[in-house]
Amino acid sequence: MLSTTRRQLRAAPTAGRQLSTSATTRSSAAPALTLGTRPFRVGIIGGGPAGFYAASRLLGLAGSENTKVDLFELLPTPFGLARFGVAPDHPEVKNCEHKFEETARDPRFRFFGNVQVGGVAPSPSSPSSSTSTVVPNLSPSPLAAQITLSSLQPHYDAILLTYGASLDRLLGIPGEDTLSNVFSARSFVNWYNGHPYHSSLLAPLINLSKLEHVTVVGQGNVALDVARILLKDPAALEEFDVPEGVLDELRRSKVKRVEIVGRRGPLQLACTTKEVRELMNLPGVGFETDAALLKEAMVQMEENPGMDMARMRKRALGLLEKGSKTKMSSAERSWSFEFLKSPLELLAADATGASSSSNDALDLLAPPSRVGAVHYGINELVGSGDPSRLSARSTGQTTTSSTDMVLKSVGYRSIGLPGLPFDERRGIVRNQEGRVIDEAGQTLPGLYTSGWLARGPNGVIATTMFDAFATADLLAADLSSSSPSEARPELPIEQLRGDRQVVSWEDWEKLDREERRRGEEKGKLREKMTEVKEMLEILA
Amino acid sequence: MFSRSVARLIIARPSPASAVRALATSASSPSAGAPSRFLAPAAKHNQLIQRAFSNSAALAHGGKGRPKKGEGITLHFKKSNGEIETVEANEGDDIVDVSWEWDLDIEAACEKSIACSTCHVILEDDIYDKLEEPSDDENDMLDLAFGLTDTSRLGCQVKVTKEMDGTTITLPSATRNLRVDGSKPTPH
Repeated sequence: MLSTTRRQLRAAPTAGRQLSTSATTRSSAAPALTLGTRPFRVGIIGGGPAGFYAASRLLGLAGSENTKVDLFELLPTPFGLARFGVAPDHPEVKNCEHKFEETARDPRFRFFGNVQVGGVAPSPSSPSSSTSTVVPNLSPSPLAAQITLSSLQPHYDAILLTYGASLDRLLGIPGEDTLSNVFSARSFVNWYNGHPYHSSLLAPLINLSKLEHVTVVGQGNVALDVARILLKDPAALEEFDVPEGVLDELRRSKVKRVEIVGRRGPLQLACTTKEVRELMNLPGVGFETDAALLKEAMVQMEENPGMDMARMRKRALGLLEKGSKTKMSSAERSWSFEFLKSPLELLAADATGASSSSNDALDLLAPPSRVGAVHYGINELVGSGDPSRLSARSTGQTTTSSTDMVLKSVGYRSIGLPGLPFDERRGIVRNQEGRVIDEAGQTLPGLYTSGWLARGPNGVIATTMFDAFATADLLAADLSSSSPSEARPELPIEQLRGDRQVVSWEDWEKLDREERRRGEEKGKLREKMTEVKEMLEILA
Repeated sequence: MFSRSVARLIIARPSPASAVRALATSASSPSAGAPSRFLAPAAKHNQLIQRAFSNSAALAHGGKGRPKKGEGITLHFKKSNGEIETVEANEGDDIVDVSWEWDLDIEAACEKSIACSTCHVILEDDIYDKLEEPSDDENDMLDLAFGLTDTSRLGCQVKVTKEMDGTTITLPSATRNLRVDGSKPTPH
């Protein structure tokens, strides 16, 4: 692939992989990346930021006049994590949706919402396939049209998989699956963001009026988002797009304390400064952490100015040291960072009461016990070199802390598609810079992946954007260097959809207007519809 | 809007490989193949206007217009591939305005609300020193910027001043090798 087949990118510098700088020094005028006005069809599976950024990039390339992009989305609503992941009190982050809307209105672009590709199922060997966490989109969606990947392939010159990471990484400890009031932070996020698959499932299980103490396991931005939503005055959320039912629940909340627990120390924090600052600035909310550990981390930081992400870590530690303006003594609510702790077991609230009924049938009917405490192993940091990269190792000591609810925020993994090479360890589609490869490292022609599905669940929207741009450029370069072939036949969506409804972009705009209208009535940004059924009824 | 199709002033510095690139790019760049984003048909534009009650600052991503030739402040933008693009800007516009006006490939995903780092630019030392310190919010976003330097700013927070006349603003290179979590990509 070096030199000759590589194309120089058109005006693609900000995101571009700079293809072969060496080649351009000797060529007098390297051709810009162009799709050569050929009639390419590209299918994109997954309508989140990765899919939309890739689509916008492809349709912005030189020579893309005859390129067509079809984007498939499981839900009737587009935007993926911009809609269901980004916190409701961060509406400015969702401004990226405006660009996606511009792309979607391009006549070369089509949106196929409410379409499930591939009968998404976990690959048989998936270690997490037997777990009981709430992952309703594992099975075919009862309302979505079902189309297999293989039935799409004849219609597209390239298919780009961008359906993200919809499974949770597990703690793998006793009590995780059996106790009530234990959720994945993602489910919780999806609940307060009105995700159709989680809203109705979680709503009856969450009762914030019955608990005061929440433990969040994991210290990334999702953990901090969850903590902020729990600690913030609900009145400060009303203007955004939090569903009314969720606002009601938050108003009833008796939560006084949120502990955010990590297996490593302050220098290894995974969250970003903005999220720490927001928590520190919440009115009436105090903060505490282990001052000695923090001091130790500050010293280490001063001794290692060249460490990874040194600037951000330094600023984050500064924020922790400064703490909240609200003193703990006068705080109505509070949060803490707990370091060097790994949960070993979740204990039932009534663990000592031994619910040993002799009647098995009654046991099955009884509601599960509520979580009452977390049993932790205490860690130390080991390793050498960059202190931000140290690992946690158990000291053998343990400790137990009481709690009323546990939210697990230790990362995500993706779901494989039948016939798609999947890296079980990392929970992503096997790929090399976005080209899907098999276990032997051979490229599967015409298949690409980007976003969290390709590189794992981390980074902000900008990270996904750069990744999507680069993958789109790679895909386009491959297409433009391919030998000319007959134009692909258009996907016969009307035949494939069966009796299911496919949601077009115009349909979504109708839903969007309705949500905004309902929101306006209540003085908020939008009132999300939280059921697929309702959306489809409005469109019928 | 259609002024975008006016040929740009592209100055290829007589230095390294960038000169070749600049020429190659200039031939194909003005609005070629970018129909959706900037050449919005009137209908689409109206639709956007109707929806402007939402929280968006700049839906159509238009610039704020260009100064008369020879009367603006000259800015050189150095792109990550080494190409230099020279434009004239109005005093008081911010760098993202200038980018939107001249189609300079600064993404500005959050539309200037200090919620992302995609408009990250690198300034010359003396220009950086004359600016007010970045706010905490801006610094929080700069923490996440790709290829951060000592004179990095968010373009949306930098207003064009007369003192900037002739300065070079560098757009950082961002590749998939630079990740927000700092991890090196591994073959998988």
